[in-house]
Amino acid sequence: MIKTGHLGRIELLSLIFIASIADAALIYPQQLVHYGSSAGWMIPLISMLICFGIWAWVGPVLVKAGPKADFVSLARRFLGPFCLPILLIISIYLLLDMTTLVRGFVEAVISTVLPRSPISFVTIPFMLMVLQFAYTGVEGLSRVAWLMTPLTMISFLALLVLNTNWWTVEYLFPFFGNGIWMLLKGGGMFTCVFTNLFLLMVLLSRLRDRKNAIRIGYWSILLVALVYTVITLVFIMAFSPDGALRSPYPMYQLGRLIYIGRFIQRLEALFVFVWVTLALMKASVLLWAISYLIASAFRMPVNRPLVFPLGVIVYSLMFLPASFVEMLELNNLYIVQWGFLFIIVLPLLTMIFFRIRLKKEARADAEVEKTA
Amino acid sequence: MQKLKKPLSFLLLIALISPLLIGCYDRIELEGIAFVVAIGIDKGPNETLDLTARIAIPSEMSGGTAGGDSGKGSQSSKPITVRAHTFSEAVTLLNTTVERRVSLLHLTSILIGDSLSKDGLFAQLRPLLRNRELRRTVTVAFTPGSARDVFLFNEPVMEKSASRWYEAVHEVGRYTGLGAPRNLHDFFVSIQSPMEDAFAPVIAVNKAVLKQSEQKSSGSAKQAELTIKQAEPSFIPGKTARIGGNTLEFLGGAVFKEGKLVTYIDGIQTRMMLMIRGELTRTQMDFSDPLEKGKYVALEIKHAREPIVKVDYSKRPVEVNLVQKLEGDLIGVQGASDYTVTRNLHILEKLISNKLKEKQLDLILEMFHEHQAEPFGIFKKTRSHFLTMQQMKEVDFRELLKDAKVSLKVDLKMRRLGVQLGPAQER
Repeated sequence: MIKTGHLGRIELLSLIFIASIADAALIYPQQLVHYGSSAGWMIPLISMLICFGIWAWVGPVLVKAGPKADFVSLARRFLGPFCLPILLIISIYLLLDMTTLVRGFVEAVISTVLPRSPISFVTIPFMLMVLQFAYTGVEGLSRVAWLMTPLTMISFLALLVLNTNWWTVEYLFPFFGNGIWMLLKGGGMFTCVFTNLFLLMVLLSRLRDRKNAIRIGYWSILLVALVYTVITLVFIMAFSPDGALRSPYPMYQLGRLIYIGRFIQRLEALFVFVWVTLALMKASVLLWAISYLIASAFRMPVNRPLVFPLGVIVYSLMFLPASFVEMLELNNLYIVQWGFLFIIVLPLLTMIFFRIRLKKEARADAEVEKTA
Repeated sequence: MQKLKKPLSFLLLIALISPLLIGCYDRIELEGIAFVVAIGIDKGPNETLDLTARIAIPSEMSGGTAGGDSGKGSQSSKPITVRAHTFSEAVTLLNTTVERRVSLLHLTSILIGDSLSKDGLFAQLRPLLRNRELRRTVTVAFTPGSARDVFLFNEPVMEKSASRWYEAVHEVGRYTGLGAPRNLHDFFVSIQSPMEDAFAPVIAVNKAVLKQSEQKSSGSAKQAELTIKQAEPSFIPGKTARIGGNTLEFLGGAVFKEGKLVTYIDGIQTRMMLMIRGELTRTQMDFSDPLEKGKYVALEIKHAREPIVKVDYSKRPVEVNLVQKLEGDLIGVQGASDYTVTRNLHILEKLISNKLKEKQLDLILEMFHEHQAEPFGIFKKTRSHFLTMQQMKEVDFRELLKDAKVSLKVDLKMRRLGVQLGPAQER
C-alpha cells in the first residue's frame, strides 16, 4: 500500500467536502436550473437521498471489510485482472473532470476578473500550486481543507445573506419546475458532484478510527447537498429561473449584485478569493487521487512521481476545447450527463462484487473453522 | 552549506516571482482612465443608436463650486454623444474623442430615450448584460423625449457629483413614491420572466421651467416676473407647475410589454402601482376633506400588511381579487374638522379607502384591458398556482388580461394624528 499518512475525522470531512463543492461556484447551479427551472434547488436534495441510500449500503461493507480495507485495497484483492482497467477508467474520468474544472475555472477568471490576461498566465501559476499541493500529499491537503472550511462557509453565508434585498420568493414557483421526471433525472445525474463518496471510499483506510467513516459519509453528503441547494435557491430567487439559466457564474454574479446602500457594494473581489481557493483545492485533491489510483493500479510503491506528468497531461488536455463554449458543451454533454456512471455507479457495482466476495470468503473461513 | 540550501532556493524563488507579481506589464493607471458615470441611449437613423456619456472629472471632485451637472462647476464632463451601430461600438467611438481609456466600471445610471423604448429596446440593451464592466445594480430610467436633452438641461439644485445625483434621484423616488426606482437587474428580470411586465422611473424635461431658465439666462426676464402659467398642480412628468429648481423632474413611470414601452404613467398612478405591488414606503398624500368642502387633509400612508392577491384561473374572464391593508397618520388638516372624534375619523378612512380603490382600479383596468400589460406583480404572485413550468406557460397570459375582472378592497386604518389633537381655532 502507498504510504499517505493518517487523517483525522474533521480533516477528512473537510477535505472531501471542499473537493465536492468547488463546482458550486462555477457552472453547476446554472445546470441545475437548466434541468429543474424554478425547482432546480431540489435536484441536489434528490441526489442527496440517492447518495444516502448508496452510502447506507456501501459504508458498513467497507468498514467491516477489514482494518486496512478501502476501495483500492479491495480492488487489488478481488478484481484480479480487472483491477487495472477499473481503476484506470475511474482515473481517466477524474482526469477529464479535473481538466474541465481547470479550464472552466481559468475561463471564469478571465471572463470576470482578469480579462486582459493570457490564458497561460492564469493557468501556469494555478497549475504550479495544484502540483505543489498534490505533491505534498493528502495529509497536508486535508489540513488546508480544515482551515478553509469555516472560511468558505462564512463567505457563502455572507454572500447569500447580503443579497436578501434581491430575493423574490415567487420565482421558486411553479413548485416542480420542469416537472417531476426532469427533477428525478437531474437528481440521478447530479450525483456526479458527490465526489466525496468516492474519495471517502478511497481514503477510508487512512482514518485513525475507521468507525467514524459512516458518520463522515453522511455528514459530507448532507453538507454538499445543502451548499448546492442553498446557492441554487438564492440564485433562482435573485435572478428568476429565466435569468439564472443564462448566468454562468452564480457566485460571482451574486457578489456583483450586493448593494446595500452606497457604502456596501462592489464586494465581489472578496468572494473571488473563495472560489479560487475552492477550485485550487478540488483540482489538487483530484490530481492526488488520480496519481494514487494509477499508482495503485500499476502496483507502484509511490504515487508522487506521477503528479508532475499528470499535471502536464491536464495542462495539455485543457487546451483541446477551442473555446469556453466548446468546453461548456463537452462538460455538459459528458461530465454532467454521464459522470455519475463513473463516480457512483461503477464504484457501487464494484462494491457489490466485493460484498459477494467478502461473504464467500467469510463462509469459506467459517467452513474451514468448522472442519478444523 | 547544505543547511543554507533550502532558504537560499526559497529566496531565489521569491526574487524570480516578484517581478511577475508587481503586475506592471499590463498596468492601467487611474490617471489613464475616463470613468463614465451616466449614459443615455437614443435611437439614431438606419438602425443606429446615439450614446450620450457623462464622464467623471476627478480633479473637480476635491473642490470646485456648486452648480450644474451640465458641465460648468460640475464634477463631470459635458455630455458627449456618438452615433454607432451597437453599444460596444459606441463606447469604442467615444474613445476617439476622450483622451483617456473609457471605462464603464463606475457607471451608475442608464437613461433611455423615447424613440428607442417605443421601438423595442431589448436588442440594444442585451449587450449591457454581457459587458463585464457594467453592473446590474446601475439605475435605469426613461425619458419621454431625448436622453441627450436630459443630460444637456440637467441643472442639479444641490448635488455636484453626477454619479451621486443619479443615486440621489433614485432614493428620492423611493421616498416620495412618485417615481418607481428600478435597477437594470430588476428591469431585466421582469422583462425575461413570464407573467409579469417591467416598469421603470421617468426623468423628464419641464419645458416651462426650461423656458424660464432660458429667459433668465438671456436676461429677458427677472425672477419676479416669472409666473406659473398652469392653473392646477400637476403630477405629469415634465408638466409640474413650478418656478425654479432643476429643469428636469423625476416622477412618473414607464410601463413595458414584451420589451416595448406601452405607456407612461404620472406620479399619482406610480404611487398606486407601487401600492398594488406592496412596495410603497411611507409616503405623504393629500385628499379632499370629507367634512369640509374645498379643504384638504394630508396623510402619511404605509402598508400595514403585504397585499393579498387571489386569481381564479378557473373562471372566464379570469377573476382577480386584491386586498390591501394600509395604515395612515394624519399630518395636516386645512379645515376646522375635528378628527379626534372617532366617527369623523371613520368617515375619513372610508373616503380615502374608496378614493384609493377607485384610482387603483382605474389604473389596473387601463393596464389590463387597454395595454395587456401587468406591471403590478399580481400574476407573478400566483406562480404557485401551477405545478410545472409547462402548465404555467400554457396559460395565454395576455389573453387573460384583455377582459380580466378585478375586484379590490382597500382597508385604511388611521393610527395617529400628528403632534396635535383638535384643530387650531381662530378667535
